[in-house]
Amino acid sequence: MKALIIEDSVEVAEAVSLCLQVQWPDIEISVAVEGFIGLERLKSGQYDVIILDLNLPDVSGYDVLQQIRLFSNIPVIILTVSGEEEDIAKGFEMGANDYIVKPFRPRDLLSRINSAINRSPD
Amino acid sequence: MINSSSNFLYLMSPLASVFVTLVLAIVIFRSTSQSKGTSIFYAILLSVALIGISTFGIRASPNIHLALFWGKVMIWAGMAVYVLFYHLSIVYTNIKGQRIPLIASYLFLLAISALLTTNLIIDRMRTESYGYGPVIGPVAIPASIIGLVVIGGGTYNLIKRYKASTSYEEKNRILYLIIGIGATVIGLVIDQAFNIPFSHWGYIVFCLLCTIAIVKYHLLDVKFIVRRSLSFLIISFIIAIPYVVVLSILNQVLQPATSQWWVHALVILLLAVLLRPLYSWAQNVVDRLFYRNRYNFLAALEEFSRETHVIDDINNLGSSLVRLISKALTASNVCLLLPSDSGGFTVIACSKETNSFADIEIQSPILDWLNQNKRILRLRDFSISPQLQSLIKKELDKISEFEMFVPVISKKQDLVAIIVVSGNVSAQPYSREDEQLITTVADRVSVELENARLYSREKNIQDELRLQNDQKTEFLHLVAHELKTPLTAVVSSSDILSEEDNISQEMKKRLISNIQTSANNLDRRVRELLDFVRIQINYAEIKPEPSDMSNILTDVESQMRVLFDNKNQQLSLIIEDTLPKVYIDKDKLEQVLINLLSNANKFSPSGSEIVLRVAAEKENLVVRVEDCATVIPDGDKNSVFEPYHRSISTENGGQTPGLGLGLTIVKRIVELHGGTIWIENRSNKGNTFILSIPI
Repeated sequence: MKALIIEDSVEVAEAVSLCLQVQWPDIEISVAVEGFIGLERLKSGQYDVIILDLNLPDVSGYDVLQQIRLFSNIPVIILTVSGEEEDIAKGFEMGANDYIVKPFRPRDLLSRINSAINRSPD
Repeated sequence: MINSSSNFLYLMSPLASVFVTLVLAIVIFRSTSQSKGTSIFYAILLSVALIGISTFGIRASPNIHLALFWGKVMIWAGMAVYVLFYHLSIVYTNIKGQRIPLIASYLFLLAISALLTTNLIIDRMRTESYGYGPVIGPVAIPASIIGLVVIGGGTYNLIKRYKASTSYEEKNRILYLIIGIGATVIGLVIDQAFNIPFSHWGYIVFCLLCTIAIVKYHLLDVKFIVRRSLSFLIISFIIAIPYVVVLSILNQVLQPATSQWWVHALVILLLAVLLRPLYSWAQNVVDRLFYRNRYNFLAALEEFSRETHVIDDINNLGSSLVRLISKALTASNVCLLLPSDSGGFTVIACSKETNSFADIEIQSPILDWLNQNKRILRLRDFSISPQLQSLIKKELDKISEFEMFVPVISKKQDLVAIIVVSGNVSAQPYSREDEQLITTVADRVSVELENARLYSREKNIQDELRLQNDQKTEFLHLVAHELKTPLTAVVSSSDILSEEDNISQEMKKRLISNIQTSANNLDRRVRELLDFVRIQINYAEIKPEPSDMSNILTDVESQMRVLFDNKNQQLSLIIEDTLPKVYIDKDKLEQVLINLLSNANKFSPSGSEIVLRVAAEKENLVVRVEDCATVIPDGDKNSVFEPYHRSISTENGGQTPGLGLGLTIVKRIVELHGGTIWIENRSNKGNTFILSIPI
């Protein structure tokens, strides 16, 4: 199991990592603090799920998602502050598998990751 | 006919006028479509030509009987011109209800024709000094008066139509008619009253001018010619009377033999003295006739009120005002000046598009003069008033095109605007009436101008407030985001700790550490926000104490180390060994350094080096933070210190995290210490933030 976390806030990335490690002790986690770094990682490695923040220092999370969908069907879960309806709708339109508003409950996050992985075509 | 061989010009000039008339007829035949009006106009031209031919006939007559015949023809042709002109004015202007006067005028012509067969109009011809001249009969003067009434009626019709007309083409056509009659009458008056052979040359020149005006439509200012010719016409009549009176008196008093060159010279001298004021007077009368609107204060003000009623924009109001004034005064240029921020007056609107008028500076003596005298400043005052002598020649050249400086005084006796008026299009000085008109307008507009100016100032303030409000709303969103981020980690990690039973000791440690870090971050951001709020209400106080900079730097470094490690950046701290203790607020300066360093960390790429240098320079503590971020353009070097300013870190438009308050707080704290902060370029490698605080 490999997960990619694209998130500029170090503490949130750590919290998500801890969540995942509690559920899957063997999980390999990679953290990218910028959108482009995340895209590079994804191109050079094999991942099972991506946790994506929308508010990134270099590019918008939507743009990252759009780029991902050009070459991959990997499950992408948006994890962000904004709970605005239009933001959520836009996330799904761009090809997100799920959308979680911060702050999140670990169980909620994990179950959504599970269902996203299970539903994915791979 | 006497001594004809010596005066060829005397003989031939009437024929030249015939020639010019015929050329005019051909030109008009070729260039316009034929109508009832044009056929009447041809008849006029024909009559004018007939006058020329008959004049030639008189001068060339071998005997007195033939001269009498030509004299009668000339009188008839002159009367025909009057009546035809009246008819033409009716046809062209399409005025109704003048059928009876028209028939009457033709009957008058018929009566003249009949009377000419008798000796009631021209009694006989006699030999004068210049050749054959008519001796008028008893009916001649009443007939002439009726003729002038007829011509006056025609001119009245045309002027009435001219004023009512809105079409540029039509106005010009009517103007040509007035020119024509002006020329004819002048020619006749000069010829009849003065008996000067050269009068025909004046007539020819005027006819040529008319032809040019007609053919070269745009080359001549037609209105100008018309106004000049009409005033000339009036003077001609006025001069003719005293001239004849003076001449006849002289002839009575002196012996005819002494009526020599000096008599004429005396009369001409007398007339020359009379001419100047007479000319101005006549021009004034004609200008009134043509631009009656300008004397209609109420109409002008009403138009202005109507326009200003819906105008709240100061620029529109200004252009509407200068347009109105330039129209009312026939000024070639009118400018409106309003107070500028620098205390001088700046040009808001000009009636002429290519404006040559510059702003008036605050120290200008013109402003002093207007403030002191509160009345119109004329160009002639510049050479009289000692106050205005201090204007240097360059400034005088700049304003010499302008004739009047009109102060607009508010109810509180403040100078709220200046209206600058250039010379009149007819090159006449402005009259007392003009001054009254513009003073009335200035009084009237002072309220409107002040209102519009206040309105526009309020509107600017409102726009500014709206912008600030938008920024605050955006800021609140940002605050929510920035506070939620560390909160997210706290909630998540504490949830795991409370809900999961079998987690390893190591995981527990990491979870707790995550909660602690996040809580610290949260605390820092809340503090940042509170500091900002305090700064906003100007409450921030500093508690300076002698502090050791190396201690502060150690504290700062321990707090910042993690951030720099995360981005693989190298943080170098260089401190001068001999740095004394500095008298500053330790906590506040720490915050300054943390804010500057976290900015450097945020905007510099991974793997770069950030340098913090601390030194004492000339009684000042100088701190330099050198980063490797995108160079801040000169235009943004001040705005980055403004609240809510958040830099775009890359071309992709991504927003940087943070409240955008860091640098605002930094600047405020530095200022509270009596210091300054600024940004310098590191020769395109990055920026250096430099702060200097007195020790």
